Amino acid sequence: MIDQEKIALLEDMMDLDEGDLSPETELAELEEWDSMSKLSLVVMAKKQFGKELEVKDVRAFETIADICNAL
Amino acid sequence: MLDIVCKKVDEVVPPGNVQELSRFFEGSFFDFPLRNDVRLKKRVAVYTLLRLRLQALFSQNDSLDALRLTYPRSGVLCIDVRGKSEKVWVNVSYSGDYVMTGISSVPIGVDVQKVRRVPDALVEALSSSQEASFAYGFSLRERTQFFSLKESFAKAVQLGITWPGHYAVYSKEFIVDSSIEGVVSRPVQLEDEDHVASVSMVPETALSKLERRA
Repeated sequence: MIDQEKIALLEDMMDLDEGDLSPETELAELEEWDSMSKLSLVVMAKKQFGKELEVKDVRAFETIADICNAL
Repeated sequence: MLDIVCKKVDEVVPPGNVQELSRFFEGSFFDFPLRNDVRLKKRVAVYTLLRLRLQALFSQNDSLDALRLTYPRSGVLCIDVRGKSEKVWVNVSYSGDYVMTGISSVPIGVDVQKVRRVPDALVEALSSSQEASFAYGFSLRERTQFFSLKESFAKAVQLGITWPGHYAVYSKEFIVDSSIEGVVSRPVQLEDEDHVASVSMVPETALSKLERRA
């Protein structure tokens, strides 16, 4: 899956509009990067990508690109 | 003791006062840095509210120096009231336009959420088998309340949010598994259609039973 598709999934997961996110988007500046989004990411990573993300992994993400690289 | 307060951010922190209030916490008994990002105003608001509530409850005559912030277990925030034998548990939450604090004599978790779409995959991951039979049919607001209850309960017990069997919501009234005495989890009513809030309290005696079932 290319990054743009992953970004579209992340926009959907965070209830954002298409084009709201880019690889450079900083998570610290994103209101929607909250506990629900973090938990949704863990669930999505396992269900759609077969990746087990741990809390320390999620805490270490700084940008959308970091998430895309981990998926 | 139980003190639960949920207020709009702007009621706690007037516009323009964020940096000034942020500096107020430096070196105070909230001895940790407040990250300066898009959520700074909410962090300042929630710790301002917590400080005001603790002051109202404990410090009519004493300085807040008599209160010491401790972490008895990972991720659990608790205040020791110097000179008193009681242990006081606190928890905070912020989302959307609201901040929320909970202060209790038993471990407490509070959660406020701006109503938003909760993905099916998350509902599935959070649901026990009993809950799964009706959780998919929830409205947007009910789904957010469902998540909020789970979050508040997880914050009270600090064992993680997804543990089927520990937390059974039997109906739309969100009644928590009452097989363990003393466990309380319920919505907190807000006069705001765009936000929901929840509180959970889990006595330490119940915590050990929950841990054994994990």
